[in-house]
Amino acid sequence: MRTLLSIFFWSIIGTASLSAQSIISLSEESTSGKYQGDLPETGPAIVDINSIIRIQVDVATLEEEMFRFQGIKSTDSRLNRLRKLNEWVSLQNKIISYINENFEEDGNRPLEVYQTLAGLSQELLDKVELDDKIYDELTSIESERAFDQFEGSYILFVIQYLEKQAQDLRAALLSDLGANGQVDSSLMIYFRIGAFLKNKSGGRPVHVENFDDYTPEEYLEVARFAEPITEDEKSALLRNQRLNDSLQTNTTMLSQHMKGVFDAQFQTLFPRSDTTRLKLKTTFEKSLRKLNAEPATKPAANILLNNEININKIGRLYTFIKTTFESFQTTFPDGLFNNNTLTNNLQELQSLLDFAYGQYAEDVNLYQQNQNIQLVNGGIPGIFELSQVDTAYNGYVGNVKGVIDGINTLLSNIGQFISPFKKSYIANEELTEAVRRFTVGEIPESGYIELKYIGERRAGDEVLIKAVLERGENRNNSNYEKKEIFRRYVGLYRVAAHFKMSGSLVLANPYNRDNNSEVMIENNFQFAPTYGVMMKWGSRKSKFYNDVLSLGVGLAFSSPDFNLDGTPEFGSGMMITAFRDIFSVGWGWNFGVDAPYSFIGFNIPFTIGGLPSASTTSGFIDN
Amino acid sequence: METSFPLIKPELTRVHQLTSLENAVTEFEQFLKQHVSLVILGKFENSDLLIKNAHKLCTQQGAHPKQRILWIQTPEQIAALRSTIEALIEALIEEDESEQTTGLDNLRAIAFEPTTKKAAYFIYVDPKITGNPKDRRKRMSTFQMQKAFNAAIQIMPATEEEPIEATTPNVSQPTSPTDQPII
Repeated sequence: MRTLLSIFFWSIIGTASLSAQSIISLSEESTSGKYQGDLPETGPAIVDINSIIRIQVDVATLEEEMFRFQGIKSTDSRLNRLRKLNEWVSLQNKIISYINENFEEDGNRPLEVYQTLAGLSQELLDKVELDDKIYDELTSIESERAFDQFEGSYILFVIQYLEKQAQDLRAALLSDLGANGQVDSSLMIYFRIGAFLKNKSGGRPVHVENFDDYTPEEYLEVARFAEPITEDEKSALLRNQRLNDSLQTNTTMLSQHMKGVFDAQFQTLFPRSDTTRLKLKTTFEKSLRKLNAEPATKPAANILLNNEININKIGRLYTFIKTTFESFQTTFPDGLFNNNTLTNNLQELQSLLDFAYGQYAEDVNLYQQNQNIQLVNGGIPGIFELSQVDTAYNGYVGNVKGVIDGINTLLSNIGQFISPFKKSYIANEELTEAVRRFTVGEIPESGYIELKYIGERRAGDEVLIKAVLERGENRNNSNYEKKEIFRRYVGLYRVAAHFKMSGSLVLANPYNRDNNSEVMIENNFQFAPTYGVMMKWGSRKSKFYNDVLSLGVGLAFSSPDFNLDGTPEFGSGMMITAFRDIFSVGWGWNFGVDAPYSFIGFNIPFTIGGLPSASTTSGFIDN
Repeated sequence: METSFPLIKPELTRVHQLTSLENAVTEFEQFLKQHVSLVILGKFENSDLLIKNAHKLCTQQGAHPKQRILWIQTPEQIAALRSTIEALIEALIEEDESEQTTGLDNLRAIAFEPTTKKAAYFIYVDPKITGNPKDRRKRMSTFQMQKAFNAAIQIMPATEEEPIEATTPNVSQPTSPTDQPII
């Protein structure tokens, strides 16, 4: 009883610790390499807008999860064994890359290079030594002989052996997915990771190295020295924002419209080809019956029979395309973006038509040239019926090609104007075909998102990273199932120190006025326009700091008129800003009247005295 | 740089043996001084195959250029070197109490670091005799020989001779009188 309780307790602990382990972990690395840090598993995850986000996959845990998703029990000893082998993969890769980097060519190497390799090699051998089964096999006489024949170093021999062991285990576990050694592909488990830039305008996929086939966007580094934007630029940005909002709002309207377009095209394209299809069918059947009735025309009937399979194939594919096209009316635009099946099928139908009709024409031609055919009434028996089928076949082929051209033209036209929506609407967080599928044994250990190559972005935008397990590739398949195993938003902010310039209005107080006769003002404060050059920095811990507090320190240049002669003097000093630079305090020196002054300032979001003002809108000030 | 004629790259053996019993100690000490050595004692099961593999460990990609095997095959040779080897092992035991051996008769191979001639790793005839659970795997195999070399390389102190040339030894200037290739 006590033993049972103990087993139960430890199995609970084991399960809990496994689920607590994160399959995917994120870290940040600056492009200069000066900063490296892990992102927290919970709470706000913040990175610098120009950094690199590294995605580390715990392959051992992931593969275990994939097999469990497949239906393998956690208690299966093969899983534990595979896990152990997978845990060594990272070290194995390290050794392989170290050898490749340092021993590719003959030459001089410092002792530490040999020592590092010896250390890595020893670490792996020490781990392997603890596994009785693997060690016994590796030190068996068969393995000794195998190494004798092996072209490579011993550590690579060991690594190759371990990889084979892992692969054999995976194959054994996967064999449960099918029968007779054939894996049912609709039950295969795939791992996928995708990333999306998300902001008010929607979202779009961004490239994750090693995990998808998206091409990186243009290089765009958010400058460290941000000049204030001009009114023209601000207007342009506002126009862009309105356009984005408008696009977003009108997407629904567009969907309705497009459904109408599909319906109209469907009604135009298919009836004509349906008619010719029916005509071919009736002509074919009638001709076949007639040709089969007479012994002399039997060879001609054989030509029809030989081509019947091709005609049926065309018929099936045609029906499938018709159904798919019809379904776009209800699934637009998802169906169009997420599925290349229709385009592929159209190409296939085109090839099939060319082949099938060509085959029929060639068969009829050979029949006509056949010297063994007994002429009946001076003519080739059955040629009239074959000719009738040919005419119907030709008409059908022509019309179906018309349908193919029509659909292709429509898709091409839609593709041209719909691509902007693709990013902001559909691709918001949908894993498209460009996101690679990985089965067990081929999952990369890591990937990264180089933020400088994800195109336009603003402070406050977020990158959504999500990973899923999928059963089967086709979501229309009844076995298809999706499980999201990771979902994390990473905020992009200007964390690294950067400079910003902006104008503001300050209230200057020449506090030492009693000792300076040139200071004529009677009020405590005098309004003065000020231009600030501030150094700012962000936080990797606090969204509140980045979004609200956002401190800055810098130089202030102002033009007060303390002697009230109508000509502003020049003053400069130090200032500290807060609340996204809306509020500032500082100290300065008026060089015109040699008077010190303190000031508080308010960055009112409109232009003062021709000075561009900093906006409170993060997107504008940070770009 | 490409050449228009084939260059024959000599591949010297890395497995050596003593040339004479009289000078055995001198040869042995010289050998240890000049190489990252794995000294193998006596003949054993599958010795030909394992010695071939030991040679491969010295010539493989990533091997230290000074890695060598000294195979002391005969009981007479072992007897001639007994006191010298035992002294080296004794010194090691005094220096590091955690390294315990069961005497020369149970030793199959010893890895030495050249600068200090310190024994870095032991492979036993029968690991069970040592009584140390950590030694239970240390029976003669390519696996253990690789570990022995790794251990010796890891304890090598940095010298002014760096960097080390990853080339075969100079043919015209034998490194020691013991350079008698056996395979």
